[in-house]
Amino acid sequence: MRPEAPRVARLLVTLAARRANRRPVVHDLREEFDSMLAEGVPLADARRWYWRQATDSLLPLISARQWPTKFARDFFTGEGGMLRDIRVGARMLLKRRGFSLIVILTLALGIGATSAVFSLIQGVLLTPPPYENPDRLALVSPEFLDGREGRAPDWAAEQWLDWREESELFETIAAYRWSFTFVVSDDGSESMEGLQVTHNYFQAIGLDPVIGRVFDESETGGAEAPRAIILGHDLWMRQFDGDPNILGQTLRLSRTDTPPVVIGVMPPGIRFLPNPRAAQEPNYDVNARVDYWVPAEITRASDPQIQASRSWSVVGRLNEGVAPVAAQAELGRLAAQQAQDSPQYEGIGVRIQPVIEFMNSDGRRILLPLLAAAALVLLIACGNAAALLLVRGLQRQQEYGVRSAIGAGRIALLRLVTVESGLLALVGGTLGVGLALVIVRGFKLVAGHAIPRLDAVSAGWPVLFFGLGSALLATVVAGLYPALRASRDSAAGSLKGAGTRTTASRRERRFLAGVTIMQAALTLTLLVGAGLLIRTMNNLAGVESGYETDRVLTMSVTAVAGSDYADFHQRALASVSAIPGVERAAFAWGVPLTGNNWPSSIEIEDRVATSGSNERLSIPVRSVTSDYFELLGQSIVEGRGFRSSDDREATRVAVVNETFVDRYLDGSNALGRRFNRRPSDPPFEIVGVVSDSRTNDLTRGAEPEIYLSLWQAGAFSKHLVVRTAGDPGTTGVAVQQALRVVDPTVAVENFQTLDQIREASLASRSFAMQLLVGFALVACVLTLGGIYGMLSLSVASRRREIAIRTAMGAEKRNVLQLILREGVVVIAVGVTAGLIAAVGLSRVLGAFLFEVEPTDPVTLIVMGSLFAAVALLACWFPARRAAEVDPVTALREE
Amino acid sequence: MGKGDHLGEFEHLVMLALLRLKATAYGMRVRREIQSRTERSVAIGSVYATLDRLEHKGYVIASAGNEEGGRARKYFRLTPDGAQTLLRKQEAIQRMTEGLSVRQELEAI
Repeated sequence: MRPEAPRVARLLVTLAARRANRRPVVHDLREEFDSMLAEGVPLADARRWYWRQATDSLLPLISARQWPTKFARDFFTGEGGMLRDIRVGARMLLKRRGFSLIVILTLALGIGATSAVFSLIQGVLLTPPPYENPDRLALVSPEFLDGREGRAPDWAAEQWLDWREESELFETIAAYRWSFTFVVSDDGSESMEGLQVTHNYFQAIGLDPVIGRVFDESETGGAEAPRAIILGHDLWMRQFDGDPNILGQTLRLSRTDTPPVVIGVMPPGIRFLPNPRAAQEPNYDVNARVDYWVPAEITRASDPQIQASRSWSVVGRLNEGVAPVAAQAELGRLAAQQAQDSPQYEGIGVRIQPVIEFMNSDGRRILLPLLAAAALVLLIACGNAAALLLVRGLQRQQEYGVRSAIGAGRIALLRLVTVESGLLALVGGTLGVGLALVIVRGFKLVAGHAIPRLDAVSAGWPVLFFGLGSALLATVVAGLYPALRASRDSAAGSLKGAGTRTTASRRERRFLAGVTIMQAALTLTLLVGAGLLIRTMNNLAGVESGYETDRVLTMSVTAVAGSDYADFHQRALASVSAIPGVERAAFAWGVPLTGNNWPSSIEIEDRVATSGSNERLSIPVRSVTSDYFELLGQSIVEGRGFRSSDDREATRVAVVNETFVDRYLDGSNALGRRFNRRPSDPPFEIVGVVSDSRTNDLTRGAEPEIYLSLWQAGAFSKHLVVRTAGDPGTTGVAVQQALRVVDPTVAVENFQTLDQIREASLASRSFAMQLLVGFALVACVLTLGGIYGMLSLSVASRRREIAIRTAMGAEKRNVLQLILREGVVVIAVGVTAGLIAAVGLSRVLGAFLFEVEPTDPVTLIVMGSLFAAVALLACWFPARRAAEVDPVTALREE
Repeated sequence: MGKGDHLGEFEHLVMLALLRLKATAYGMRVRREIQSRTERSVAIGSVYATLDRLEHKGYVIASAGNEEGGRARKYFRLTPDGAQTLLRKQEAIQRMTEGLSVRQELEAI
């Protein structure tokens, strides 16, 4: 097999040569290549020769081409032509490999960071959601008119049925509520989450199915019509392999008598509408996709009690040109009228929020501070690159002088310098964009679930332009300045040995010092921010949650086959407890940090509230089995926990926590007190008080809680919580098998240890911390480099001065002090300015912090001192070099 | 000498090479000839670019040679015009260097 000549080199030559020359040139090269090999030249050397020939031939071949105009020919290939400049420039940069590398890496870092954030912003904030005319979509949310905190109850059907008829400003009003079901199978069922929607929902949202159709009115009224179901795209691909024959088939679902018929499939990427209240939940997945839609069967003819059930969310499409404020006023008026007729709706007002605004505020919270941090890094990086180019340029004054004195003069010199800077910017920018791609991919992996539409983000053209644009600006400006200065000096003056300014004047050094001060200040702000977040994470790690999270495995368990509730769960507990390695097991609806609970409105008997009348309190209710509290390490401080005898036949009991007692029962005598969830229902009696815990949110103190016995208040889907002797992860399979033995169709999903749940609840903070620390470190490295460079230049510029001082009796110590003083001033001013800026800017982090003020003095002092100390170290080396200047040689050089 | 007679240094070398190689002059051979005699590295691209220029000036003419196993080779040779220009250049150099020994002069500096 004849060895091949380097293909890329051959391609380059083919591209460069004009048509008539292509084959001859390639053939000639080939011939020589072959004869070299025949003579015994090693293959590697022959290939190297080929490459050399190819690159050397590019310029001549290109200039031999036909150019469209003489101007083009001269511009690119003439004596001072662009191509020549590029070649010369590239060679110059390669000669000073170290310098070029530093500038390129500096730019790549800065551009990579900002480009990454820019593309994230563009993806999240600027790309519209998949609905038609999304700017006319508005969420209609309930809020308390008196501004009180807490979740206002959802809408009742009779309310939106009313609005749909009466409203003139809305084109359509649709209602939806979150729904959850299981696809039943004998091989273990699987859960699906979706929406129950009114028939005009898709029309309101602006969505068309990919196959099939949407609901029509007949499917949303009365229970006689066969139930229909529309599937989400991802579910369709996942469970049914995208089979179009799914239309017309029925699905076996849990808790439904008639299996519904699949009538359509929606396009990919449809997420749940933003749910302002649910967004506060710790495990809320903003990117969760809708698995299915089913029709809501509510009309004016439905049972009045069903019509009054407050469980709906409402979304509307405004008419063209209608302002949200106007719509809010209209619906508010209608709601007020409804409240007059039915007093239970009193006190609840309407709030209209454009869907787009809401989708963006989620992402904005995290992304904008990120953009600020990245912009700081870019600023520092460009500052560094500019300073480096400036210094280098100043050192090349003589060379510039010569170049501008001969040949095409000033213009050629400026063009050469611009090309050099441009090449650096191009390479640095390209590397930076590559880095941005890596960062974006990493970001998606880590933070994907917390920011909407993140999975649709990719680095695009705007990123490229932004990155390259910044780099070009910084390098070209910085490169031109010394060249301009040099070409302004008379040619004669530059060529002479004396009067050569290879160093910087005081004014230039002061400029450089200014740039360095700015860099130091910016770095400090990033450091302080990082420090605050580190303290936050530290505080969070040490917070007393009130429950023990180690060696606890959780999974969601649902019996879908309709077997006897108590029977299944009791047998399940027995089966799981029997597994070796399992210490305790319990079922629970309301595991800490999952956000699961039943928001309930309760009324405590014999309680006189401060307002005089007995008000209903809004309290989250959870449901557990007897071993639950012990499993989590919580203690019963009064009375007792739950027993297996607390079942349907016994009195309804409840366990409350200490905060509940303090706040609502005057801190004592909880046992025996009663409350009800609905006035018509039998009350619950409090039989025990459990210790406080931070169940909902690690950053907030304990809130009043109510626990019920699972045997009395059964939850359809709940967690099985298992404490293991060893590693909880390994017991998962055994537990699942034990459950399947009891019921093969049971759905067991979502295996997570409590530690993982805890970490997930802190995920966004933790991520912000890592990011800020990363940025701060990069900024530090860049700035320290800048300080070192600045002082080095100063030493080089002041050689004569130092030499004279030494000759006049100054000691090494004095010289050291002289240089160090310059560094100290810059560091001191920079650190001070930085701390002041940090005090102002740290406010941005407010929501992320925990038990730490944005103006925390400890963090400020520690970061300031740390940075100053390391910076002083960077000053040490140039200072020491200054002290070693030999006065004799230094003066002779002048 | 007329206005269009200017001959660049490399152009001169190429034409001299063509003179040497006579009927067998094609790209690679010209390149090798110049490289071995002047001891400077020559890129094949420069040779072809120069030959193009010379052809444009009318000093050189290209012809397709015999195809050896499918390879089209471009052969070059001097035109009468080209030969004239070369001759004139040689004479000019001769006149300038008449009686001069460049080496001796160098040692004197």
